[in-house]
Amino acid sequence: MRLYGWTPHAISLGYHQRKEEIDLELCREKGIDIVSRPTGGRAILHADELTYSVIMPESSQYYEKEISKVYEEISQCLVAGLNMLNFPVEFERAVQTPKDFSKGELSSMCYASTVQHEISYQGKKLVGSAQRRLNGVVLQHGSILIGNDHLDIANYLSGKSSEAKEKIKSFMMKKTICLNDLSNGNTVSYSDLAAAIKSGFEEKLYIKFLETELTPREVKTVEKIKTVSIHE
Amino acid sequence: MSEINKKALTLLGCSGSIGQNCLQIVRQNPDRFSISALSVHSNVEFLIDMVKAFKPEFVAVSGVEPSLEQHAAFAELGVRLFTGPDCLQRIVQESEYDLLVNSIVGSAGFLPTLTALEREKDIALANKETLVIGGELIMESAAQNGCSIYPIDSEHSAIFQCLMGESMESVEKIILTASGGPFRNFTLEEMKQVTVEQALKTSQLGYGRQDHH
Repeated sequence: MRLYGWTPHAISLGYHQRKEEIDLELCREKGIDIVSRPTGGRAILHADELTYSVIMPESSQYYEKEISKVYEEISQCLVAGLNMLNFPVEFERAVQTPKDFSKGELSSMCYASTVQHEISYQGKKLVGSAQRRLNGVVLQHGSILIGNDHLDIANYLSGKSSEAKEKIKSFMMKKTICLNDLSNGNTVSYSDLAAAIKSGFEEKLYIKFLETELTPREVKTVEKIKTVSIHE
Repeated sequence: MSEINKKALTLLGCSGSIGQNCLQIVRQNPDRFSISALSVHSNVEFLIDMVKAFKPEFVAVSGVEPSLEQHAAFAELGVRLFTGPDCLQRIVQESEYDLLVNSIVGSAGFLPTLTALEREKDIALANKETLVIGGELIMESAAQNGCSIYPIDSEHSAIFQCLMGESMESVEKIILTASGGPFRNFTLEEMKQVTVEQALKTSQLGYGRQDHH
């Protein structure tokens, strides 16, 4: 498992997205990097967040053939970590059908469909995750939102009017929540959060992590896959 | 027809010609078929329309990333959307169905077929690559899991239908002839003069030259 943040802040593009979808000029001006993900989904602005990434081979005892099982297993570890910091978040698992709701609760029904299988608080998504399987290895990564800077992604989308950008921002505000929103005015520290997430995995999986720096080989791999920066 | 005989389908490649024909059959026989999950490669707007019509639980878009507005549309419709490289696997693993209709084009069709067989689901197969890539593996898995594979691509389905009710012992050979194309009305004498170039030039499907060894 790797826990990390982003300096400079960066936009990651989903697997099928092209960099033309992003306002590269503005990114250059604001010093925002652009990277691409091996997973699906839309562009994300990685700013005030803790990012996690877990890899495991098929031979791991935690490996499951079903993608959703590994997804849930990892999500439960994240929830355990967040609960340690007294955040009352949960992994919305059950498939909610309209009969689960009493009459007049149409609004909750609408959000229910969007937050199933996500770590959320009162129907708002806190952690966005994605998984990929390649060559016998599972990768799952995701963003745990600390602040609300991720909303600024709207400003960096190319070909959108300022009206459309505002609409996107308010849509995202309705659908997502960050830890600072849940901490009664206190700011959540990156290091406290990272420590709690680590403990969450250790407690749930009965394991102990060995903390290490990047190996020389990993550093070399990073250099190899790093392409030309848009700031050049 | 009772509910017990109603078949739930997961349909991969619903915007292609076989996919659309399949949806037409479901539309005409709502008492016999329902749709659990649908996928398209890139025709997202078509998929949104099909979600409204057939109300599947899951959808996948395997070749493009839908726009934010399209993501919102799927969310509003209460359907779970998967995108990215493993999205077909996700819906084949997670949706509940009796029959997987695999009508996508290309090698991406292989893994979903295998996964569905492992889940003991029958397959209606139009994805040739599934059998080209790993026919042995697929047929073995089908036998092991007690599943049927129904060919639904034109020629294969025609042979399948011809053989229905026949005993395999009575079949000595199956001969597939190529369609006559522009030479259809040629006499035997004229056929002797036909060149490879003439045949390739008239290939309407653009298959081009395929050397079989």
